Amino acid sequence: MTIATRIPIIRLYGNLIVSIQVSLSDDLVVALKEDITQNIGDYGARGLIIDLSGIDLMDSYISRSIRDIALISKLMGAQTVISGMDPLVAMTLVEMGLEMNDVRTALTLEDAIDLLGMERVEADDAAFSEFILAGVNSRTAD
Amino acid sequence: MLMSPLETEIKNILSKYLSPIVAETVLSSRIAASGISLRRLRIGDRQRLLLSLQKGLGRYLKPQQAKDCMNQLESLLNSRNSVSAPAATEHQKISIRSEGDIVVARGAGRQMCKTLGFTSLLQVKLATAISELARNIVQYAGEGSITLHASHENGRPYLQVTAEDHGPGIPNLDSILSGRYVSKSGMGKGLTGTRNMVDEFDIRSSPNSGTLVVIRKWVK
Repeated sequence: MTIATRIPIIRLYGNLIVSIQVSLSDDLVVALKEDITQNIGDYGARGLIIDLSGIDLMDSYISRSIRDIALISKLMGAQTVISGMDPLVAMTLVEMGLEMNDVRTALTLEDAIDLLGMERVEADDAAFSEFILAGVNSRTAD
Repeated sequence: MLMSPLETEIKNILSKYLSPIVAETVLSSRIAASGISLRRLRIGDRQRLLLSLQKGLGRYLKPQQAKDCMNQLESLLNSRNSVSAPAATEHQKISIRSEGDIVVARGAGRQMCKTLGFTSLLQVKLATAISELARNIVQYAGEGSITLHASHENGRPYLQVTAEDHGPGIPNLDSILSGRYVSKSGMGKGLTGTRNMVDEFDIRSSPNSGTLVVIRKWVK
C-alpha cells in the first residue's frame, strides 16, 4: 500500500484537479479537505475535479468527507465534479444509502473537464501558435 | 522465500515446457494473481490455481502444448488434494486500536473474500462493511477487535465477521437501526448499510458490556 501524507492538488486554467490514487485514511481525508479549501481561497479556483479512479473502496466516512469537500467548495464559489467512480464502489454506495445527490459527477476525467467548460486561458497563447506555425511554414517553403 | 514442495513440483512440470526463468515467472505471477497460498490450500483453491495457470500458459505455449502441460498440472494437484485435505476454516483476529487498523482489517477481509470465491462486487461490499464496523470501534469505543472467520456449512462457504468492543455501547440503537437517526459522522448509515449488504446481522449493545456485531455472508 502506498503511504502518503498529502494528496497533490494540481492547478489548471483556473481550476483544481485532485486525483486520489491511494488508499484513503482518515488523516489523509482531513488534510485533503484543508488543502483544497486553502487552494480555492488562494488561487480563486472556479472549479474542482475530484478524480476517484484509484479508489477501490469507500465507506460512509470517506463518502461523507468527499461530499463535504464538494459542499464546502460550492460555498466558496467553486463547482465540484467527481469523476472516475469505480462501478463496484458505486453499487456499494447506493446499497448503503450513501448516494451523493447534491454533487455533480462525470464518468471520466475528460468528461469532468468538459463539464466544467475548462479552456486554456493564457493571453499569449494564440500569438505563440502563430509564431510556431510561421516557423513551420517557412521551413516547408524551403 | 523458500519454495513449498508443491510449488517446486509445479515448477518442475512447467520447466518441461518453458525455460526455467519463464516457468518461475509464470508460476509466481499466477500465484500472486490468484491470491492462493500453496502451503495452505483452501476450498476452491485447486480450481482457481489451475485456471490462473492456464491463463498464464496461454501467452507462452501453443494450444496443444498448453493442454498437455495443464493435464500434468491437473493430475499433480488432484493427487495432492486427496493426500492433504484443504484447510476448511480460517480464522483471523485483528486488534482495532487506531485508524490504520481499519485499513488492515478491510484489507484482510477482502483477501479472505477473494480466497472464498466471492464475486468482486461482494468483495467490495464486505470490505466496506468491515470498514464500517472497524470505524465504529475506533470512533466510539476506542479499541476492540474484528474477527474474520471463513468456513462452510453443507458445502456452502461463508465469511463471518465479528466486531467486538467494550466501549460505552450504543444508547439509541433502535432509532439507528430503524433508519430514523443519522449521526453527524454518518454512522447511522454505516450500520444500516452494513445490515443491507449481508445475509445475517446480529447486534448486541449495552452500556456495561460494550457492543458485539456479528455479520455473515454466504458465497452464493
